[in-house]
Parts: sequence; C-alpha cells; structure tokens
Amino acid sequence: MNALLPLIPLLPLGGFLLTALLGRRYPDDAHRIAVWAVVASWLVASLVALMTLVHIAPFGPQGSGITLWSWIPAIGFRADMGLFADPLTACLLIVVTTIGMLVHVYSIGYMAHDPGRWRFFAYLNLFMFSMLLLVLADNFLLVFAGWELVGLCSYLLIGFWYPRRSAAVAAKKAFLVNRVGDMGFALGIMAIWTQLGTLNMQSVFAKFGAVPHEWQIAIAVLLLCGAVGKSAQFPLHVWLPDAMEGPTPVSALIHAATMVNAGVYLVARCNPIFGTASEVMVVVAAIGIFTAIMAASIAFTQTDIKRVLAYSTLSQLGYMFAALGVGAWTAAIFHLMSHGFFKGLLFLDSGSVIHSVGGEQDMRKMGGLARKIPTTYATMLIGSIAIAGVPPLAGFFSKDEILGGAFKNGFLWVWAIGFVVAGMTAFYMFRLMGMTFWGPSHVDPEVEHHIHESPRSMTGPLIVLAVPAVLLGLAVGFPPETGLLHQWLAPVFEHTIAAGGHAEAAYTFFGIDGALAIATTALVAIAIVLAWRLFGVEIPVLGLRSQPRPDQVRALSARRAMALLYRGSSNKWWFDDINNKVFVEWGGKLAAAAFWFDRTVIDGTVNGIGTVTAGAGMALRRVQTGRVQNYALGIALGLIVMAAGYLVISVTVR
Amino acid sequence: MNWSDLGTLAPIVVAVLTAAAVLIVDMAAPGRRAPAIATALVGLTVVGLVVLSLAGHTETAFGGAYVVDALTAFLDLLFVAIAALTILFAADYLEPRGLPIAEFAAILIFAITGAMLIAGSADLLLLFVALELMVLPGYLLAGFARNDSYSTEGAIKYFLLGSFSSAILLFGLAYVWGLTGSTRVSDVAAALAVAAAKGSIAPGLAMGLAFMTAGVAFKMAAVPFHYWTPDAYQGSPTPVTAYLSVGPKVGAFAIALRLFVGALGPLKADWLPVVIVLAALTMTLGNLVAITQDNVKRMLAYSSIAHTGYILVGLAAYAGGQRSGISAILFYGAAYTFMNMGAFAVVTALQRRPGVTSQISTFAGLGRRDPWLGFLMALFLLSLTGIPPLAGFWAKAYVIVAAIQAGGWLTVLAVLAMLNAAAAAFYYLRVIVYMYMREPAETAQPLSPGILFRVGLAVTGIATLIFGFFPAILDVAGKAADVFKS
Repeated sequence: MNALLPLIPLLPLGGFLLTALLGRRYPDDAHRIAVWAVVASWLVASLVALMTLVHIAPFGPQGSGITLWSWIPAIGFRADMGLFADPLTACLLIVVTTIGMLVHVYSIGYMAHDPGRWRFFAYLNLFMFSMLLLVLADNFLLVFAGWELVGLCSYLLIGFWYPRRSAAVAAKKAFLVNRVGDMGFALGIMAIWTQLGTLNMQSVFAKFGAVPHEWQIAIAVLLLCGAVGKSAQFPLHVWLPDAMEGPTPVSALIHAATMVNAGVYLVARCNPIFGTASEVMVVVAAIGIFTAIMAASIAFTQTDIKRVLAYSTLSQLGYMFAALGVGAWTAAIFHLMSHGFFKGLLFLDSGSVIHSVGGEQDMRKMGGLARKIPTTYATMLIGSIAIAGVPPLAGFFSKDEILGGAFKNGFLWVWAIGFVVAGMTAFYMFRLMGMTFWGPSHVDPEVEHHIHESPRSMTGPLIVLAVPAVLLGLAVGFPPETGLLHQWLAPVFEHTIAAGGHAEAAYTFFGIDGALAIATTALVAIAIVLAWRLFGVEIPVLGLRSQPRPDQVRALSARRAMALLYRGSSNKWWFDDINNKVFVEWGGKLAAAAFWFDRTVIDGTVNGIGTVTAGAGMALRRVQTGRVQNYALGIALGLIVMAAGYLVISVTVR
Repeated sequence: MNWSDLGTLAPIVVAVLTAAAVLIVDMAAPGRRAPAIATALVGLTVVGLVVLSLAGHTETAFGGAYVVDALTAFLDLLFVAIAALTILFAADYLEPRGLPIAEFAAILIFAITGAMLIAGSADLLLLFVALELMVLPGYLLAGFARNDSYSTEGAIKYFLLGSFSSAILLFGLAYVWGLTGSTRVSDVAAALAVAAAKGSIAPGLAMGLAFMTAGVAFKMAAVPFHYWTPDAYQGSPTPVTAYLSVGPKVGAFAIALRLFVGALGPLKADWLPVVIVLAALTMTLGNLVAITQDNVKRMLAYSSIAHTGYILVGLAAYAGGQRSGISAILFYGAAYTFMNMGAFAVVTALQRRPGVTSQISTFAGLGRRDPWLGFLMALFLLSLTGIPPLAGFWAKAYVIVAAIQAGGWLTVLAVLAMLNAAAAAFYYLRVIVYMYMREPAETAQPLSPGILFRVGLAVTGIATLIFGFFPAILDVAGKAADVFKS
C-alpha cells in the first residue's frame, strides 16, 4: 500500500507533462488532463489520509514511508528519493489536494477566455506536484527541492500575465525576497548534515538531542529563516501583497491556502528541533504575533479587495506562527487547515466578484452587489463570519485554541495582542463586506448592467468550500483540545510537548478557557457591529437600519492622531519604502561600486588571463604542424622525459 | 582450449560471427543497406544478451589468459553500445557519400571484438594482441572516405604514429616479462610486489614503466602523446570520429585498468606521480586549445583530450589509495560515451549533406531550425560541461571527490580539474549561444535525420538524463571495480 504514496505527486506531474506537451495544440481542451489528474491525486491522497488517521496498516500514527531509489549516492553522502506519511502529512494532504482540486475546477470558468490557459493549467499541475513533494518528502534535501519548485511555480504564476509590467515586477519581487529565506534554509540543511551526517528527517529528529546546544539554536534559526520567507512573515512579508498580481485562483491556492503554509508546516514538522531550542521558540512567537497585528492594521485601509485578503492572510499566518511559538502545535495545524478552507473560499469569492464587475478590484467602485450575485455573497458572508471567529464556525475554534494556548502556556503578551487582532480581523472583514456588497452601488454604469453571477464551475467550488468553513471546527475541533484533530496529531507532537513541560491542561469550559472564549467572542461581536454601522448594511436586522457613514469614516480618519495611524496603515507602514531606500537605493549604490570593481579589477584580471590563455592556446596550436615526423619526434621526446622521471622517482619514492 | 572455454568466450565468438554475417548478407544482397544494418544490430543485441547471461560469476579461459568477470561484463556492454550507436548514426551519413555501410559495420564490429578482448585480458601478450585487433580496424575506419584526401591523410598519420606507439608499448611489456619471468597478470603482480617490498625498483623496470606509460598514454590521447588526435578526428568521416573519440579511448582505459591497476598495481607509488603530471597536462592543454577552435568537430576532438585528463584523475586517485577511483573511472567512461557520442551525432546530422562544414557558424539558429536537435545538443554540451543534474556532473563529481579523499597532491589535482571544468564551459556554451542567440544562415537547409538516427539520438539523450537523475543506476560500476579488491 505504500506504493500509493508516489502516485499522489506523480499524477499531477504527469498532468503537467501532458498539458505542457499537448496544450498548445488543443487549447480548448487544455484543462481536461490537468483537472482529472488532480482529481485522481485527490482520491489517492484522501485514501492515504483516511488510512493514516484511522490507523489502517501500513499507515498509522507512527507514519509509514517508501524509499523509491537512492537519489544521490555520493561517496559518504546519501539522500534518498523517499516519501513518508504520518498524521501531520495527512492533514496537509487533505488541505492541499482538496483546495487544489476545487481551484482547478474553478479555474475552468475563471480562465475560460484566456488564450494562455494551457500554460496556466500546466503551471497549476506543476505546482500541485511540487507542493505534494514538499509535504511527502522524508528528507530535508527533497523538501528543499519541493520548496524551490513551489517558489518557481509561484514566480511563474504571479507573472502569468507577464506583459503587464506590475505582474512581472511582482513575480520578480516574490522570487527575490524568497531567496533570502531559502538561503537560510539551505544553510540550515548543510548545518544539519555537518552535525548529524544524515538528512533523513526521522533520523535527524531521533538524534537531534546529541547536537551541541549552540548548533541546535543555529539550525533552528536557519530553518526559521526559510519558514519566514515562504510564509511571508515579518520582515520578509513584503512579497505576498504584491503577489496578488497573479490570477485570483492562484492567489487562493498558492498565496492563501497551500504554499504560504509551507513555513508553518516546516516548523511543525521540525518540532523536535524547535522544541530543544526554546530560545528560538520565543522568536517564532514574537515574529508571528507582530506580523499578525501589523498586517491586520494595514488591512484596515486597503481599497483593493484582494490586497485586504492578502494582508488578512499575513495576519492569520502570523497567528499560526504565534501558536507554534507558544507550543500550541496542534492549534497551529488546526488553524492552518481551517484558514486554508475559509481563506481559499474568500479568495475564490473575491475572484467571482472581480469576474462579475469586469475585472475591477477597487472596492470603492463596488457596493450593493449582494442581490446581484447572491451565491457569491452568501458564501463570502460565511467565509467572513468564519474568519472573524464567530461560534460555531471553523475560525472560532482554531483561533480560540491559539489564544487559549498562549494564555495557558504563560505567554500573556502573545494572548493580549492576539486578542486585539481578533477584533481587528472581524472589523476589516466586515468593512470589506460592507464596501463590496452593501450600501449603494458605486459600480461604473457601463459595467453595472453587465453584472452577472459566475458560471457553475465557479460557484460550485464556492459552495463546496463553504461546508468546511462552517463545519470543520465542530467536526474535528470539538470538544476543544480533545477533539479528533488532537487525537490524530498527538503522536507527532507528544514528545516535544512533554519535553517542553507544557503539559496540555485539561480544557475547563466554566474556567479560564470559557472566559477567554467569551471575551474574544464579545470583542468580535463589537467589531462586527462597528464595521456594520460605519460601512452599512441595507437589510434591516432587528429593526435597526444602518446606512453607510462615509462622513463618519472621514471624520474619524481626519483626527490628528488617527490621521497619522491612517497614513501609516494605508502606506503599509512604509515597509516597501524602507526596503526601497535601503536595498534598492543604497544597495544599488553598493552594487554599482561592486560593479565598477568587477568591471575594472576582476574582469581586467579575467580578461588578462583569458588573453594569456588564448595566446597560449594559439601558441600550442602551432605545435600541431601536421607533419608526422614532428609528431613522432614529440612522442620520442615525451618518452625520454618520462623515462628520466621514472628513474628519478624509482630512487626517491621509497 | 576446450568446450567450456568456448562458453566463456561466447561474447567474442558471437561478435566475430556477427561481423562475418554482415559481410555474407552484403554479398547475398549487394548494395542494399537494410539487411546489413539489421544483421549488425541484431547480432550486437545477441552479443549484449550473451554478456548479460554470463554476468554474475567469474570464469577463465585459455588456462587463465582470458577472464570474464564483472569488469569484463561492464566494459563489454559499453563497447556493444558504442558499436550499435555508431552504426545507427553512420547510416545517414554514409549513404549520400556513396560509402558502403556493410563494410563499415563489419570493420567496426571487428574493432569492438578487439576491445572486448582487452576487457577480459589477464595476460600481457593477449592484451597486446587484443589491442592491435582493436586499433587496426580503427585505421581502416579513419580512412574510410577513400576519395577524401583529408580522411586518407588522417588515417596514414594515425596508422604511422599508432604503430610507433604500439611498438613502444610492446617494448615496455618485454621489459616486464624479462624482469618477472611471466606474462600472466597475477604472476606479474606477485613478482612485482616482492620486488617493490625490497625497496627501489630496478632501473630496467623503471624504463619498462616509462615505455608502457607512453604507449597507453598515446592510445588514450594523453598529452604529450596526443598529436595524432586532432588530425585523425578531423579528417575522419564524422561518425568515425564519434567512434574514435569513445571506443579506442574506453579501450585504452580498459588497458590501463588491466595493466596498471592489475599487473602493475604493486608499483603504484612509482607511476602515481607520472599519472598526476599526465592528468594535469592533459586536461589543461586539451581545454586551452579547445578554447581557440572555431570548428566544432575539432573543438570536440580537443575536448575529448581534456576528458582523458579527468579520467586520469580517477586513476591517480586509485594510485593515491582511494579504491573509489576505479568506479569513478568506469562511471566516467559510461557517461562520457553517451554524451560525447550524442554531441558528435548532432554534428553528423548537420553534415548529412556532403559539403556542409562543422564550423561553429553552421550551428547558428539550430535551436529554431530543429528544436529537438538543438535541445539535445544543448543537453549533451551542458553534460560535457558538468552541469548538474546531468550525467557529466556526476562523472566529474565522483572523480574529483575520489581525488580529494586521497589527499596530498591529489587535492591540488582536484582543484585543477575544477578550474579546468569551469574553463571548458566557455567553449561548450559558445555553441549553445550560436544555437539559440544567432540567426540561422539564409542558405540553411532543413534537417531530416532518418529513423535509425533518431533512435540513436534518443538513446544517448535518455542515457545522459537517466545517469544524471539516477546516478545510482551505475552502481554496477562499483561492482565491476570490486574485481580489484585484493
């Protein structure tokens, strides 16, 4: 049965190859192979995940793997092409293949009129292969291969509409920023190799305690660099919002639900490494919770619908990192799963909105869309309620576990900031809902009468995704901290949790846990009402009738203190400007100096060597006279020199 | 000789019968290409199968003069592949020039028979006879285009210098026989081990080593015994050049393994410094001159000299105490065979019509004129450069790693090999630049390689990729190297 594992990534790889080879010739059917390949991969992955979670041999809680071949059998070095699945892999497989499949189906409609759609589906399949390889790999080198491949796919898909300058630039930015993190990851892998002499994950984890403590910290920090880059955490978060230049299904799949989770997965997978380096854990928590509040504050003022969601993704990923940092491992994976589903849903909804208003992404030119695109509206409302954390939807349970974990493990500051972010999340999501769906229409009259609900292939995935957004929390996260997910993941994390001294306290509904949950819910409710009052809803609820209050929003933003905050938020806290100043301008000057040095000194030397070399080559060429007698003489001379050499050696060597 | 000897010799017997059958078929159906080619390919397939059926256990024949072990089987299969690929590539080239394919195939298979005999030689006399059996048909092949004065000139030079060097080698073998009293490899090794244990070797033995080293260095085209290579390579019909660049070279390394590692192993401390110098000179000079070439065929000729240097690094690593040097040599030989034959095959395809030169300008725009051919040429050139994850990368990596592990002066040699590999990128990548960044000439004609040619090209391309992605597939090289365990 282990032979099922390679099938999961190979099916999309086959889809990629076929689509890439045949797609140009059959542009109208380009999606067929790609979509069916992913559906087949989803079926196999579901089977494997199910067998792993309900313990049908050979799969089970301790994991099961297969080594296909010895990938790099260098002398003294060895890396296998091996795949491995345990409950953590199973959770990721469910998220990646399910959302991947739905995004493929959705793209049939979304990309219907794009002339490059075969290229799009080929890239999507390649991405699925890469992501599944990353998740299933049993050694660090193979993870790194998948890691780089998803980065490549991300680059290709962000720049999918490459004639548009902003898309090409955003693709480059994502690629470059990711290089910074990947460099750290690569160094981390090398450090592991030098310390342990193996790259197989299970053996690394088993032997990690024997590594000197300063190396433990170094390895954890380097791996964290990679995770921070891929999951777009501060200070490498700047690429993700720009990545929204890609087609919306890409934003949903890669930049919300799967690839950006790779960093969270890596840290969770390496829990034995991070667990022994507790100093680094605090850093993880700090980076996470800072990213969470910083991104949420930026989401307040963005007007591009996809950018609001992008900053929301940053913020939620920050939650996950915070959860990892405080040792609430299961809560992090729980939030990864629920966020994958509801954020995937929200992005696909935003794509449906953009599709219906003719490509417009500015929320100031939307409004009043609720009645015109009811399915999109209903599903997006569900997604918003889920992410806001209203019980009993998915987001409530996962977020509550993170905040509870931070509080009970003694990270009060993490809890306090996370608590505020929960309110902020609810506010910006309902600001988005208000500006898009409620109130009077600001849509361009030209576009106004073309507004239409999206085709079935697009609304279908929306409805399907709405189900886990509502039910996932109840299904696997209830009762809190003893639900199914905790039972599944216990074998993965129990050693680290026990070693860390954070024995999971029993959940007490009428104790501290219940109080925290009620407090958070209350804050969320207040935030929603506030957003509702400011950005308006036209449906009378309980006799209250609210109109949008642009005047109030403006008055609020105009106050002196608020104005500063507003400017900061809408300018994304000037991170892009700082980067521009430091890396582009100053770095550019440094590069110019280096370039001068390179041109005059290095190139001068190299060209000098080259000239000498070519001259030597020309001189040697002249030896080749074409006369046999010269050649024979040369051989004879060579023989004489060699004989002399041998005679000298024979008396000196021993 | 008895019946069981015949069983051990079966691959060689079948090869000779195949060559004879090709000639008979050609007499029965004169001037028809298909039957002769089919006979040759089927015969070679049978040879390969016979080799495989014998693989796995060691057997000897002629009272121990000839041995079939893992090393013989590995090299035999490589030689069969070289012959089959050469025939696949040659058919397209010879026909428009009115040259007979049947004769070509027969001579080639005779040459391969000699090479296979070298691979299994456990006696110095047999080794020499086998060597002559391999190189004599090679002279014929070099002059195969009888009406082309360059071909004839190259063949004459090759023949004269080849005979000269064969004599030198034989002279060296005679010294060894005189001093040890035996020509049997195992006896020679035992006698030399005793001699080496006593301290400095006799001056006569040192002279013998010099003669043998010079003879073998000539056959593998190591500097400064390489002068024949560019002229013979450029004058020969291109498919013959493809063969000459791999067949006799791998054959020469087979001699090096049987003679230097097998018989002269106890004296490795003596020949190690010489091999280090040879390797350093060979790769550096080969690359330096290759950089100045504007003719791709000549450039590949000099680059093949440079590759000899890299393989010699593996031999030096063995002498320096790293047994992994042997498996590195074998891996390099296999990888080099496929990528180099592939590169020459593309040159052959471009020269299908008589009169087309192999100047680098004929490669201009190949990437657009024929995307597959361009892609494969780029693949072979990148592999020859040593770009991961292609076959050539692992070949270089194994050789260099073995040298570094041996340490001492070999570390210096390894660094030199890496610098050389970097320098080689210049002339390999220049062809790729022409293929993809230059407009094709107005007069460029469409290329239409035949089906046999495409099959051959596919095999070389797939091998270059597979050895690159799954280097473990050549674990058999390690098993073959275990022959020298004792």
